[in-house]
Amino acid sequence: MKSRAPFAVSVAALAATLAVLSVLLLCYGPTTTYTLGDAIRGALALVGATDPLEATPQRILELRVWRTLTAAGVGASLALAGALLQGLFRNGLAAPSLVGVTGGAGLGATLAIVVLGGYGPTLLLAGNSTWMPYLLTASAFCGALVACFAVLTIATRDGTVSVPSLLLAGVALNTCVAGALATLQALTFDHHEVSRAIVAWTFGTLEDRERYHAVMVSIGLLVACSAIPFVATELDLFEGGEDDAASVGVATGRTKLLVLGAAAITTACAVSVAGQIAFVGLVVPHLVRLVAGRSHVRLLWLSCLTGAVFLLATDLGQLLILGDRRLPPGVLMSLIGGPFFLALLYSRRRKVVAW
Amino acid sequence: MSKRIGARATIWLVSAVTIFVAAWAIERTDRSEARPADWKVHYAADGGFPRRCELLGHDPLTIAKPPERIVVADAAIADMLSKLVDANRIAAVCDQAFSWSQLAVDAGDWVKRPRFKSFVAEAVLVHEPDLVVCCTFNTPETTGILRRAGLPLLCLHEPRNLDDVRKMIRLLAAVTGSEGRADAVLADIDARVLALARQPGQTPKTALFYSNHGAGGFAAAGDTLCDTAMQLAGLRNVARGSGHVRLAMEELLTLDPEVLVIGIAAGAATSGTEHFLQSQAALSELRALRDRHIVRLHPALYMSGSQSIVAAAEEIARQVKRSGNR
Repeated sequence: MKSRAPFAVSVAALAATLAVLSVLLLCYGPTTTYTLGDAIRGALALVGATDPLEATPQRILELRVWRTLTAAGVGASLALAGALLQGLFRNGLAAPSLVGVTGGAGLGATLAIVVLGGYGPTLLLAGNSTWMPYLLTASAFCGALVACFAVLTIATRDGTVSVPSLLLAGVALNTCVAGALATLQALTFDHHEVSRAIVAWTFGTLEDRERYHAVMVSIGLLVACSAIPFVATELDLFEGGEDDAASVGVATGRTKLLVLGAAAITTACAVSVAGQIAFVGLVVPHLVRLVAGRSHVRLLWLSCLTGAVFLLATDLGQLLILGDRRLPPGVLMSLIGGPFFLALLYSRRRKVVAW
Repeated sequence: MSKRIGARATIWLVSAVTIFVAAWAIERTDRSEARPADWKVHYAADGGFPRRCELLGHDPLTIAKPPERIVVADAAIADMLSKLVDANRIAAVCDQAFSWSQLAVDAGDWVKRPRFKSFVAEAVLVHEPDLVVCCTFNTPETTGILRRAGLPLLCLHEPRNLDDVRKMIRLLAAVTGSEGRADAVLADIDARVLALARQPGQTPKTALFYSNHGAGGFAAAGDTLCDTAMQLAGLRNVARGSGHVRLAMEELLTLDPEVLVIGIAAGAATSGTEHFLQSQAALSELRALRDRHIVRLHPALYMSGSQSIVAAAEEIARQVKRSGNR
């Protein structure tokens, strides 16, 4: 009981912070500021609870609602996926990109841009640009799942997923994906509309998100969250090694598949709606571990909430500092996450040598 | 074992087919196929408004009355509209127009109009426009939101020659009800083109519109406005193909143009391309460098892709003449 109070307090504090940040992001935007009353009224009008504001303010508020929900969902998804994978790999440097999900989504989206068109004037679906955002999202999602399936297939032998093989297969697949992406970028170098679209997607984006973006990322997050009760205790037991976990009755194969499946689906959904946003899955679980310790029940739920808070806070921070010159989230997270990753490596250099 | 080999073969086959399809899609992109302004406008019986605009590959657009709150999201379109409508009809204009179009040189009353840095839906909606004009550069997510919000949205392809520019000016005039001003702009273009053509005849010099900052060079080949500007200036573009193509130093040496046209930042005396080319020993015998036949152009003249390309041609002709007299 003694340990539950801080967990409940942490959840309450994070939920409150999340609510405050969300409301602030509804009130403040790059063009205009709304009163707290108007922001809440506009948001409630979306579910028919109140009368909407005037047409233009209501549309702007709706855009902010979807952007905020998408950002929170993406942050939560990536952080949760990172915490799950770090638990599975028993390695604090694991992240969703490691199993090829992020790269696969990137390749899927790039193929959608290049092959299906929508940005370029004369590609296959010229004129059907209305469908392009949906196709882009669907293609990124398929790419993520195909990449994860490929890595899992390579790392599975006699029905058992080998964690070291998974790690190596992920690295190899990321290299293949990077090569394929570079090839596509080189092939489209002269087509600057397509080239620009690819680069923009690679940076990640939270601009002009819509209802379907928020719904998609929420579905992925719900799927991953529903796996937490089935894997949290098992991941605690994984800390001593897979064999030890098996010796105390953990179904290691099922746990690995559940963790990988949950991490892959939630990352695929997140990356397919917001592009590639690195380091959230790496940084957030580490921050949470400092407060919550190593218990995965706490770690997973708190990572989820902290991820949402983290992305919203950075979004609000740069909105207040940079206004409508906001950096793409992928770029910002690299600026924050890169130094963090280096510091992590430096502080753990003895352990790294021992791997 | 055979199962594993089969799985590997499948992975390789799928990868190869994917890359092949992508490469095929890229290669089949025929830049000459879709012209920037293949359009038709249906006028009201009295020739006024409402007007229904049909643009190739897009949903028809109905303009109920002459738009008074226009949001402009592209530098070229800003350049053209600046000649067609008064600044007070502009609700907002993209910031880039003040760097990459003639507005960088002479913004007039446009400088007082609200600006936005990023073309995102909120930045447009807040101005409550009655017409949004953007280009195919803009993301479909944003244009989709604006369309669904019921805003009249005109999304144009970039022009690639002077005929495209003329068509775009006529289209913009049709949707804004500015035909009279468009006639004057087009007459001015025709007169200046004629004046360029009447310059004392001589064998056209070979030329190349080139940029290279050390990470690989690019040249403007056929079907680009830079190519148009050089032709109007009486030069012969030696770059082969169409669009902006990669051009290595070896090819540059082989083509050996008499004149090099390069872009230069406002107020600067030289450019990164010029520095780079002059620092390369292998290029010391390049005719244009050796004879100092280098034309330096302000980006406002050629970057936006508007009627300003005629001014670019005049500037090229002036600098070529000056270097020839030196």
